[in-house]
Amino acid sequence: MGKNTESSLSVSLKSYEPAIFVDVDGTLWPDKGPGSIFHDIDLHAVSSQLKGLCNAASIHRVFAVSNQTCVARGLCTLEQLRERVFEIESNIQKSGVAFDFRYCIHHPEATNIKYRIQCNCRKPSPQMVTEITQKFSIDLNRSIFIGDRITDAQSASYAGVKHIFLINNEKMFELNINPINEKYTYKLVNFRVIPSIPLLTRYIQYYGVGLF
Amino acid sequence: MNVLILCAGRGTRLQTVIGDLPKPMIQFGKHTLLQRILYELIPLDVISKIYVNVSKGTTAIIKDLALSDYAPKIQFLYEDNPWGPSLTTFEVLKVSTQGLLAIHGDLLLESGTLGNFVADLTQNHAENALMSVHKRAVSNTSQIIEIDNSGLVKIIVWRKNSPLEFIDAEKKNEDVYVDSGIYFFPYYINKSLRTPASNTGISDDLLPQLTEKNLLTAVPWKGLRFAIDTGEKLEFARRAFEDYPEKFRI
Repeated sequence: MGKNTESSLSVSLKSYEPAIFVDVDGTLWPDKGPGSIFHDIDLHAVSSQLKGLCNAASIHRVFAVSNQTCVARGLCTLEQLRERVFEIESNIQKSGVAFDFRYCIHHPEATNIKYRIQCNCRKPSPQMVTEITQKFSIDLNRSIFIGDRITDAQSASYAGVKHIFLINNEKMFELNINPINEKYTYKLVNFRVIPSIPLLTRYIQYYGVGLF
Repeated sequence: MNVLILCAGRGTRLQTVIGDLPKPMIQFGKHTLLQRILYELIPLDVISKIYVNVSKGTTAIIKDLALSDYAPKIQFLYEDNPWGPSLTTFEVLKVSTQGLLAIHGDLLLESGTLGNFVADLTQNHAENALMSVHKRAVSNTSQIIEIDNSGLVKIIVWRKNSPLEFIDAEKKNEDVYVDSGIYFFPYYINKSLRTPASNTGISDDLLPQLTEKNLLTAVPWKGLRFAIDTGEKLEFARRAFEDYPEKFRI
């Protein structure tokens, strides 16, 4: 009896914090097709952008959520991708941003058969965001998602993120070949369009996250 | 008050005239139809959110608005395939905590009329009045009917199978519920131009009954307005635009 009471208390006192979810290719750095992550990236600029955004929104956790098809397409090995992700993570973390990088390596038309899967994690599926939410106790109502494609908005929206921003670019409506699960057919995908992350930071400084 | 501008339609009836161009992007003078609506709505303090819903076929609207000054104030709603105005409105109502004014994006409105209309609506407290009139829902069935006989704002949400059933329920003194977040204006532009849409659910005879029962909000709408969903109507609107340039100045 006593044990039950304790566990229910611990659940109710659990604190949920907001997070910033961000796509990488086309959002944090230029999208140059599969393998953009291996191109020259100004990590210093990325770090300062994220730090500015975190300060403006009073959010301390940043999660990168990305479809990385370079392994599936045979452009690099999984080991190489892991090393690169670790390098990016540690560089951004050094600037004081709690940064975590999650990625899906599958692709339904992959050249590498091992990764040719209709997986559940590839965006527009909400799975990556949902897993992070559960693992780190994230409050989605106060969280922000920034992406550059409608599939990013779909993924965030299906997961339940309230504030979704898409960076205005040409590729916004290039749809993912992953079919959308039928249960999401009648879910609202609700987002705003912004020119860039620094401008979003300014909007948030001026209006606050709540107004968005 | 929140506003929903419906811009997801395929515009099949106008395809031969405007091709793939979304209807709200038809140019009248320097501005598109949608820009004209937005210019009127954005300065109004009573409006807290403006939703613009688009579908795969009308994404050009986002590109058109993305570079404008007011883009960050607009919340886009994306539908892969158009759900239809009724379902979209119903879904938005679920998340909208305030009254919702649903407007079709293919309307050419005389300058100033939308601002005046919203002012009338808020000053008359029509929203609150409606809230107090309606009874709560009991029925499990719910359906939304689009009323498309005026070409203006034309949606109402029902929790009954049809308006006729609603009238029946009223007679039997059963509890019924009509969502009051949406406003309907039973005014006609020009009867000869009417093209009833396939999903029209209310007959002309029924309209006065519903209005009498306070189920439809009717705020006088002064000024010229044109719904542009057929080539004939587009031509008519263009002629009016040229004949009365002072009325359509932004």
